[in-house]
Amino acid sequence: MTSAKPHGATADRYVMYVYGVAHAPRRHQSAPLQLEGLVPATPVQPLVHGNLMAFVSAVPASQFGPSEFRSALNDAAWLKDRILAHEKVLEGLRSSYDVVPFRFGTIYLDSAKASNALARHRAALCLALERIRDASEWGVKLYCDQDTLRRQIETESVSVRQLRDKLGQAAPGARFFLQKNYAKALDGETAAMIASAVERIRQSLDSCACESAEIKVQSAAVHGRPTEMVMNAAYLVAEGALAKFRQTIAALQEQFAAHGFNHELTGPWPPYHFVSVRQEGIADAATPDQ
Amino acid sequence: MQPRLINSDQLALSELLDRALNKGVVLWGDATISVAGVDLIYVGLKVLLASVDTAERLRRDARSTAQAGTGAAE
Repeated sequence: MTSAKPHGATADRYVMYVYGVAHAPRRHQSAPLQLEGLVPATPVQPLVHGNLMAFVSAVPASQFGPSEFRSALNDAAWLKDRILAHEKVLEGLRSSYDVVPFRFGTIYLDSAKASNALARHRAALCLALERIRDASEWGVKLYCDQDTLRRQIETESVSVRQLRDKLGQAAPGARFFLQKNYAKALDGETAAMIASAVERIRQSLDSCACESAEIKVQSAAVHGRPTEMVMNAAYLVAEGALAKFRQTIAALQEQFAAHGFNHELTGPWPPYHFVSVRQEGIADAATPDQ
Repeated sequence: MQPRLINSDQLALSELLDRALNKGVVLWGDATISVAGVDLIYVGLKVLLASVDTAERLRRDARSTAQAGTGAAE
């Protein structure tokens, strides 16, 4: 087992921060990982246990101890940098290992306790590793410019056009209800168009991905765009299928752009959405809003 | 393939938060000391971090506007 203390550690206490888990190489590689950890001077180290290897940093208890970490979480700027560092470590490992990513903030009191956790969950971790082998996560968000879509429906939908013609010829007394009917029909057709576009896009993407996961659509306050987010999903895509996945997105974009739809692809991400190793009996927390 | 985050100026922080704070492996147990805390404050964190992100973007924009202003004056 690798010693987990940084060189030249003083009397400071350290706790074990875990970034993720991979299969241990058959032959032990003593070459350092050369990755900056969560805070300066906490390099990422392998913690080998049987055929598994956790990537860990010994981090100072003065910041990451149970109560210290809890109060540190209130410092948004500090926290943001730590979350980015967590992600950078996982992205840095990507080229060499298939890594099952751990949720931000997984900390053990010492390396023995971290090893125990690997031992206890070995079977589930091996299944998780099998699931994500040679694959990475991609995020696809779909935005819809409803003005564009509505204008199109107004000119192309027969039923909406008929209602508008009726409205144009109506006596003043009848206009109120016809106006309501017209607005309702337009809303209905717009929603139906969006639903059918999302359905078709999902089907196309599912056909070239290993798995997909739905993510809650973000409100405008979060995504900060003038158009509405109508789909947010994660896809687990095998290395060999990536070119096809990208081509499919490009083709969908071309097909749906005229209707006001816009795709956004991000990745590769660590496969956060396609791993879920939890201790028995604890359900997945409901996804909070936003 | 290039790592996405390291070479990208425009990290969608909200996307990262959806993942790193809400997904990923959780090995509950007495040895884990802080994950539950992260879970509980997830929503608050997102709001807080989004505001940090916005503030930084505003500062950056202000800086580049100031630089553009200086450039024009020279």
